[in-house]
Amino acid sequence: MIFVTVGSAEKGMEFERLVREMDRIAGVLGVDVLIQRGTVDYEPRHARHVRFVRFDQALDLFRQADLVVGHCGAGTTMNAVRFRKPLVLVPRRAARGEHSDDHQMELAALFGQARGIRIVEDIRRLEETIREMLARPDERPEPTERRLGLTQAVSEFLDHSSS
Amino acid sequence: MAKVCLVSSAGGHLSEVLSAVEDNLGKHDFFLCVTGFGMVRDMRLEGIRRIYYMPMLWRYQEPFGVLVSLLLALPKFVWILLKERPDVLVTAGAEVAIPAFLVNRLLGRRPALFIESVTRIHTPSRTGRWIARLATRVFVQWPEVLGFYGAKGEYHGGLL
Repeated sequence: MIFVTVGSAEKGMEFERLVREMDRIAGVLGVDVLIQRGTVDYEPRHARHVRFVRFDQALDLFRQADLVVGHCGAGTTMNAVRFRKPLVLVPRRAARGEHSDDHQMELAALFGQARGIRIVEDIRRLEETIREMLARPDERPEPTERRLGLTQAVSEFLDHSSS
Repeated sequence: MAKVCLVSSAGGHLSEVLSAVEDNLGKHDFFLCVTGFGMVRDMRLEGIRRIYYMPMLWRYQEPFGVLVSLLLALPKFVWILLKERPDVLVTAGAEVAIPAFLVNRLLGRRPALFIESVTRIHTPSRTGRWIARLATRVFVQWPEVLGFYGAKGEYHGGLL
C-alpha cells in the first residue's frame, strides 16, 4: 500500500497538485493507494481516499505502508523515519499558493540527504521515482548518528529524573 | 521509573516529541497533555497511559484565540500537575507548553525539557523564545540555532 499524506495544513493552502497526480499514478500503476487529502476538494477516482484520519490511525497507516508519499512536512518525514518507511517528498510551493513561504524547499534539501528518502521537485518525475522506490523496497531510512545523538540525550535526561 | 508529562499540540509537534522519547516508552510512565480537535480525540497511543485534552478555542489561528486558550489552560495544568505529580516534563511545542512549564515552575520546578523543532534551522520558534526561561534544558536540533538559547541551549543531534 502507498500512503499519501498532505498533512493538516489549513484551508486555502491546498496541495491539490499532489492529490491529482497520485490519483493518476494509482490508475497507471494499478497498486493500492490511499490518499489523505485534507481540505483538497478533488475526489480521487483510482485511489482510495479519506479527508482526515485521527492521529493514532495515521500512525497505523504509516506502519502498514510499503511506501509513503507526502508533502515535505516535519510530521510526515518524522513518522516515515520512525517506522523506517521509504519516503518520497514533494515540497509545497509558495508560488502555487500551497504554503506561506518556501521553507519546505530548504527542509527538503536537508531531509533528502538521508537514505530511503527522495525529493521530487518537478512533479512530472513523481511516477518514475515511485517506480524506482517500489523496485527497491530495502532502501529504507536508518537511524543516523544525528538521530541517536538526540534520542540518547533525551533518554539520559529521563533516566536521571527517575524518582 | 520516571513519571513523564508530555505536552504537545496535535500534528507535527506530536510526531516529533513521540519520536524523541520512543526508546523510553516501555521504560517510563508517560502521560500526554494535547490540544487539537477531531484529529486526536479518543485516540490511543502505544506506551502512553493517559491523555488529557487541553482547551482550544475555535479561532485558534488568531492571536486573541491563542491567548485565551493559553489562559484557560493554566488552571487545567494546575489540576493535572497536582494530580499526576510528574517527575519530569518534555515538549517539542507548540505554545500549549508555555502554560505547562509556567505552572510547573510555580508548583516546585520539576526538570522540564524543551526540544526545539527540527524545522528550526536558523531562527528559534515563537514558542522557543517564550519557553526558554521556563525550561530547565533546551535541546536544539541544528547547531546554527544554538546561539539564540545562550547557556541553556544544547546540541546533541537531530531526529532528521
